[in-house]
Amino acid sequence: MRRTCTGIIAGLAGALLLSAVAAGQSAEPRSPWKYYPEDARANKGPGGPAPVRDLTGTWAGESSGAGVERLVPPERQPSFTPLGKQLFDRNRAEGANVLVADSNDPHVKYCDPFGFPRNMNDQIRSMTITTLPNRTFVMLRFMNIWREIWTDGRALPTSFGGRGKDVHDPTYNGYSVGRWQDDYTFVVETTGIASETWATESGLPHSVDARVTERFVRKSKNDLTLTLTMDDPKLYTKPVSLGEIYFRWIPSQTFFDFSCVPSSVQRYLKEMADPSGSPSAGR
Amino acid sequence: MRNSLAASIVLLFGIAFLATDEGRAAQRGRISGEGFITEGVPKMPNPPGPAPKRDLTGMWVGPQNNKPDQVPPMTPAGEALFKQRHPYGPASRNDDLGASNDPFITCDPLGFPRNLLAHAVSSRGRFIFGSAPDRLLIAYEQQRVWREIWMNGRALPKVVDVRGAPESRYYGHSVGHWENDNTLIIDTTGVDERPWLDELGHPRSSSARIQERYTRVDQYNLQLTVTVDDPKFYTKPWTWMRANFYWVMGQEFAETFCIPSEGIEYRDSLAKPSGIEIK
Repeated sequence: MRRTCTGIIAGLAGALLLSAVAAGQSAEPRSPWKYYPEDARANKGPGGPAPVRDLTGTWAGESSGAGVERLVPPERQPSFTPLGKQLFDRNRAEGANVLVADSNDPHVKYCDPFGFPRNMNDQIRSMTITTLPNRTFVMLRFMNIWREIWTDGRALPTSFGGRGKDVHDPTYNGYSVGRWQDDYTFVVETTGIASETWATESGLPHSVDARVTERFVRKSKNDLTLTLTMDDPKLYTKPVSLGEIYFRWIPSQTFFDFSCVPSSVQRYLKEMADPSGSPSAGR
Repeated sequence: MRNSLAASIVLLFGIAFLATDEGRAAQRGRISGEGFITEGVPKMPNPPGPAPKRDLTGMWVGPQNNKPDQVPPMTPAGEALFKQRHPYGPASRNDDLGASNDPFITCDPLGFPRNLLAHAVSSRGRFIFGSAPDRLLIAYEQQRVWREIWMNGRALPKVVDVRGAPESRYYGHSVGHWENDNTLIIDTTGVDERPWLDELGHPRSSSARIQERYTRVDQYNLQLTVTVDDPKFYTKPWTWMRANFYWVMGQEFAETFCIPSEGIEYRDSLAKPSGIEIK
């Protein structure tokens, strides 16, 4: 049975661990179509030098069960502008004090697309990178979704929404351009992100003019580090760290399907998380 | 505002068309910003150049002129499942979205091969071929989903969803090989059974074998034939798609998402205000 996610279903990590242990203990023939976390964990060390200007391939993210280092969380309390604070206070992220039924996280409630940059810092289980002559694609396993990064030297658009010749519509993934800073560091700049998405699971807001910088640093054949920084003067008084995420090369280059399925979430909310159809007490 | 393809495509020809780049552009009488989005099926050079050998890299748009075979008779198991499905849209001649249980109304994954059909508001879908170690990768405009096609000679899984076997996937498990310098064959099995095969609600099983034949006729023309062989639900194989795809001059994607919150809100507030559940 393939994995589906309500965005909040607990126990996946446990299930993954159990399946890994079971696979490790059994004498069943191994399938090239399956992801075995213990293989990724056993692939210790750098594995050799990093190839020059090459990120191509499939990587296990920090939530993969592959034993990569844990994500370094974003700053707990960024310095908001008054508007930023107002928007942040409006977002009710599911957590210790907010039940699923009371959250207004569009992903938790509906499986709406994370959008960028959240799709690079939340549920980051695996990604596959491929490069064409004029762009790089980042293909994320969670939600089976991709984003594209233009590398042909074009400039980012500067005007979003409204009318006008050079106006662009905001998009869930924004507009991205990338360049190699050196042989092992790929820098991506993104803007024009639809403002209804959250920048993080914790509900950090962003404006359409936010500028997000990603730095992919390939330290060895096996190790890739991504740092995310968001500069959004409308909502924050200084650039905000959105975390540092560690990836490991997957020897088999195979990973499992993992998606948030809207109808499953609706059923979950109706039957389990919110059977009364009303907010919980204390909201 | 990004392209927002809520639920069921057709219902949105009025509403969603205006919520897309194309719709907004048409409304404003402009084409969205140069350099990032270039719309339109290009005029084909006459004559096009020859097809490069064993190379589909780049972006294609279609399907155009789709001429599939008639769906063959179903098995009793196929018929039983088909009767539970309540499609919506012009293909089914049912315009009552509230009475449909098409999973795409809530933006559930289209799955393979339904994602090959044109679910974009423009009636065109775009995809691009890329590569990674041992694989071809295909990125689709609709829903921004992607598939990986293993080219390293591995065999397809014989079964899925049983102990020791791989799990089924919405877009299946796929292997590919070049039949000749211009024809790529992709074989797929192990699809998750929840998505529909098409807009009419035909079923497909996880043991179905689905074969795509991509023949690059010349520089700018690609023919695709898709054959479905699913003995669990159908009495014989048939050609499910026989269509053309064309090289995209601008080689650029629009962002085309079905947004679940919008699809669900539309269904519950406009299409099914009574809240009656469809069984």
